[in-house]
Parts: sequence; structure tokens; C-alpha cells
Amino acid sequence: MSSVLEINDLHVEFRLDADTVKPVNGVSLSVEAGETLAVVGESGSGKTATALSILRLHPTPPCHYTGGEILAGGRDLLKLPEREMRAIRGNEIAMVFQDPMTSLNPLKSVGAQIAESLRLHQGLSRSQARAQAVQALREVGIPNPEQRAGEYPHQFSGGMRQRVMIAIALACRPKVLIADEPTTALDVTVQAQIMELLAGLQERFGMAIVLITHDLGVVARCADRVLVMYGGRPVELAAVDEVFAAPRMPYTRALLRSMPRSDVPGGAPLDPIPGSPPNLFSPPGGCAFHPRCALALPECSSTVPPLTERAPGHSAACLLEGSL
Amino acid sequence: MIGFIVKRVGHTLLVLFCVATVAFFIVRLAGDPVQQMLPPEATIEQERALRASLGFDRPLLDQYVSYMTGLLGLDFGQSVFFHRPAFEVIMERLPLTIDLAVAAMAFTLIVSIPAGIVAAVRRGSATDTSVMASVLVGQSTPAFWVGILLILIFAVNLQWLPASGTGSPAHLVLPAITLGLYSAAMIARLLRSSLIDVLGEDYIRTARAKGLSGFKAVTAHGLRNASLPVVTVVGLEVGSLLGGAILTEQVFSWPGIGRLTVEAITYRDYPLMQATVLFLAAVFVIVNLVVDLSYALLDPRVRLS
Ligand SMILES: Nc1ncnc2c1ncn2[C@@H]1O[C@H](COP(=O)(O)OP(=O)(O)O)[C@@H](O)[C@H]1O
Ligand SMILES: [Mg+2]
Repeated sequence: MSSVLEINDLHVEFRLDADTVKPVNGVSLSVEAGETLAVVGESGSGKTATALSILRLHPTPPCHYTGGEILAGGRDLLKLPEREMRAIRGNEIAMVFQDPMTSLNPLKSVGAQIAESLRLHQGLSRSQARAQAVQALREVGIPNPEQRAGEYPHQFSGGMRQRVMIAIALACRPKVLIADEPTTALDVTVQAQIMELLAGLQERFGMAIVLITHDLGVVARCADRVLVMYGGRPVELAAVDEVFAAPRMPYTRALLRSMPRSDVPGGAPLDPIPGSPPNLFSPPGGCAFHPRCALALPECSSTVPPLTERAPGHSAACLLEGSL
Repeated sequence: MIGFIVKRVGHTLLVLFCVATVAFFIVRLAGDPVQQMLPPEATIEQERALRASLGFDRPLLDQYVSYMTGLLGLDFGQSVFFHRPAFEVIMERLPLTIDLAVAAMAFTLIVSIPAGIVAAVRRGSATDTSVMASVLVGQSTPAFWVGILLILIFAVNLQWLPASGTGSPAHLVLPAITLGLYSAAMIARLLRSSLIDVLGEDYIRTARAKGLSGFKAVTAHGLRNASLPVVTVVGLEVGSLLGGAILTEQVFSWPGIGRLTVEAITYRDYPLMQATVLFLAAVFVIVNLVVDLSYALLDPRVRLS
């Protein structure tokens, strides 16, 4: 099967007054229809920056897309004029954000906020869009959708608001859904329900999901493949079982030990990674992880290892050969 | 919501009661009207007779009680200078002040809303910088000076517009600009900063992620949210335009409430002073009440709580 979204060697910079930050340094990934790619990494590793770049939602300036390509539907999104890009946002590629409490407009009814993209992309009339919005609320499991469509965000709980965000994102049946930590801001009990909902909707509509998450339990349950990011670079990409069973990059192994797993009762004791993530204003030379890496070799401070395939479907960016 | 309205109306009445009381005592610091009205050669007897006929010889508390009881029936007392009910005198001048306030508010909004939006959306650009520079000038220039400058340029030198008086829409132009300039500057600045805050909100990003253009995201999702703090200030400005036109009305000889207030003070016309002060206060608190209620219209979180 061919990918519905493919990113090759994406580079993004923020040119601030005094400094230049490079939150995305050569990210490559691809997803196929019906597949879920999990993106994991510590805070500040460039996950959100990558996600926003796909829809070109960064303010420009200060943001500049300095290299690479983002292919979807046979086009390079980085080359499209803004007008054509707008036809893709919310239509072919949609996004769900981290914080449902602030991502909805408090002054508009949720029905109107869903109807907005239907009117925009599908040219529906006001009343058609309203009816369709009610249907969208029903699909994401909001009880009594006819009535709730007329209500405002503050009348919904956090979990219900995230369902509304999902309804907005999926209203036009996008081919790709980017979900940036969709459950991080929610109660633990609600998190599982939201992930179940996403999985169910994916089965129904067949969209690809790029799932940014902090929760390895979610990764284990929902993802097909995993991309690990560090300091704006992709450092390991493999099928989910491979990543858990045989990580090939020391950072991945350290990350797996440091992150909670909601699917393991009681959870394994967490083992935080020593040191702190790289400062993107002055990243360390060589492999960005070497200052924190227990297995670092002298060459690690001078050579940036490229992401190379080590086994079928399993790539890693590390000077060490073989699995750890 | 009903409870909210009842509470706010009650609060408004309480404020008006306090203002009436303060006004009653404070106008008596302006000096003795009887001395002012009499020629210097008047006798003690003549003075006493006039004082008695105006009721100013009665004990203060007595005067206060009859003044407050009068207010309940919308009786603001007799103007000493005009020999007519103070309320009537105010109502006669009110239309002129309303004309001026409406014209000034129209000027304010027409200038400040586009300026505020453009400055916020093009933040940091040359346009933004020039808007903010104009705002600084507009906010720091006193009204009487602007008025005189406008008269010099447009009435004396260019002779495009009348320098003073009333009678035609052309007469309104210069006073309206003079009066509205400060509000326009303030509202442009406020709208700009409020809009900049709103444009950084997550829901604007959501709107853009839906495929809305930057412009549509601002108009459909930004403006109403940004207008919440602005509405308060516009309301207060309406209050001060109706009441605060004292300098402008003086400069342009515009015979509205502002000039009437000055006249009342000059003549030490206690009842008229009390009435104008109370009138201005009433305008302020009523406008405030309307602003509070309009919040409920704009914001469902207030309306539905
Ligand atoms: N608008 C921006 N301006 C400047 N720096 C930014 C901006 N957005 C993100 N960054 C920087 O890019 C880096 C990556 O951030 P982000 O993609 O949000 O990380 P993650 O989502 O993985 O936690 C961070 O160091 C952050 O400071
Ligand atoms: Mg993030």
C-alpha cells in the first residue's frame, strides 16, 4: 500500500530576533491509510513543531520551512500556494490539539464550530451543515447530540470537548488525522475512552493517524509503528513490537524506561533519563544524545549518525550496531 | 440571569442615591449664590429676603430632605438663574449634547476599529508603528488644544468649517473630532492589544487548522472575543462623551450639558448644579448597566450562568 502522507528530510527553523532555533532537523516519516504511527520523545523534541509543519500552521515569520518535502495526494505541501493549502487543512489532513479546554472558541456553539468546516470544504448550506454537525457529534459518542450541538464549550467536560475536537477534525473525512497528545490534558479514566473512540473511528473511516503521545501504554495498544524523536531529529523508526522488544538506539531504551505505561497494572518503576534535553539554541555537536548516553563512544561527539535501516522496517540513528 | 439584572439595577439605584447626597453637600462649597445675585449695595434685609425666598435659610438637613423627596418624583428643584425647573433646562440642552456625543462616537469607532485591527494583524509592521504613534499623540493631546488647533486650521485658515455655534451638520465636525480623538486613540490601542491576545489563543489555531484563512479566522473567531474588554471601555466612553464634553463645548461655544454645567457653577445655581451632576452620574451608571447586560449577550458563559 502507498502512503497517504510522506515527509522527507523536513527542516524547520524559527528565526527569532537574536537566535535561530531548529526544532525540526531532517524528520522523515510516512503513514498509510488505516495505519497509526506513534511519535514519541521528551518535551521539546520537536513533535508539535513537526505536526504543525505538516499543515503549515506555524506563523511565518518567524518560522521558515528550510528544506525537505511533505507529500500528500501527489503534491508537495511545502510548495502549494496558501489558497490550495487551505483546501487541504481540515479537509484532507486534520488535526486534534492537546488542550481541548482552550482549543474551542468559547463564544460559539459547538455545532457551529463543526458546521464551519463542512460549509467551507463541502459547500453545504447552513441547515445541511447543522444537520451534519449533529451527525458528527453522534459519531463521536456525545449523547443527545441534537440538543448539545446548540450548547457552548463551557457546558462540556474535558473529555466531551476532546470528542467535539475529534468531531471537528473528522467532519470532512480527512485521509490523515494528526493527534497531538490528544489525551494528555484529560483525566486518566477519560484518556482510555478517547483512545478507544479514535481507534473505532479509524476502523470505520480508514484514515491514517499520526499520534503524538507521552503514554507508552497508548503506543502499545494503538500504534502500528513508532517514530522516536530527539532534539528535532528522528532517531528510531520501527514496528511497535520491535521498538519495545529490541530498541536499537540507547535513547529509545532510556525513554521506554522513563515513561509511564497505562496498560501495565501498577506500572514498572520509572527510571528517569539523567541530564536534560538538548538546548536547541546551541545543540551539542555530533549525536545530540551523546552527553546523556551511557553507551557513548568518543566518535559520538563529532559524528551525526544518519537514520539507516538496520533490519527490514527498522531504522535507527546510532553508531552502535545491532540491538541493545 | 434575572437575579443578575435585579442585583445590578439595585446597585445602580444605590449609587445614584449616594451621588445625589454627595452632590447636595458638595455644591454648597462653590460659594453663596445669594451674595452673587445681589448688587454690592444690597442691604442685609434684602439679602435675608432673597435667601428666604430661595429656601436657603432653612436648616441644611431640612433642605436635604425636601431635595431628596423631590427627586423621587423627578423634581430636581428650580434653577435659581433660569427661574425654571432644572430638569426642564437640562432636557432643553440635552439634544445638542447627544448630537455631539453620537457624532464623536461615530468618529471614534470609524477610526479606532480598523486601526486597531490592522495594527494587531500586522503587528510589528510599519503600519502598526504608525498607528501606535498616532495613538500616543491622540491620548496625550489635551482636548482644548486640539480644538483650538482644528479651529485655526479648518475654520480660520482654510475656512472649510464653522469655528463655533450650532445649526448644521458642518458645525458638528470639528467638535466631534476634538471630543472623539482621545477615545479613538484609547479604543484603537485597547482593541489592538486585546486582539493580539486573542490571536494567540488556541482556538484561532483550531480555526486555521479547519482551513479558514487568516483574515476569516480573525473576523469569525477573533473579533467577538477581543471585543469583550473593548465594550466596557466604549460604554464608559459614551458616558464621558455625554458628560465630559465640558472643555469641547466651551471651546466651540456648543450650548450643551457641558456648557450648562459651567454656567451653573458660575452662577452658583445650587439646584442646577445638583441636577447636572446627578444627570451625568446617572448617564454613567446607566451606561455601565447596559455594558454589563451586553456582556451577557456577547458571552454565553455569562448568559448561561
Ligand atoms: N513558535 C516558536 N517559536 C520559537 N521556538 C519554538 C516555537 N515553537 C516551538 N519552539 C521550540 O521548538 C522546540 C520544539 O518544541 P515542540 O515541537 O513544541 O516540542 P514537543 O511537542 O516535542 O514537546 C522547543 O524547544 C521550543 O522551544
Ligand atoms: Mg508538544
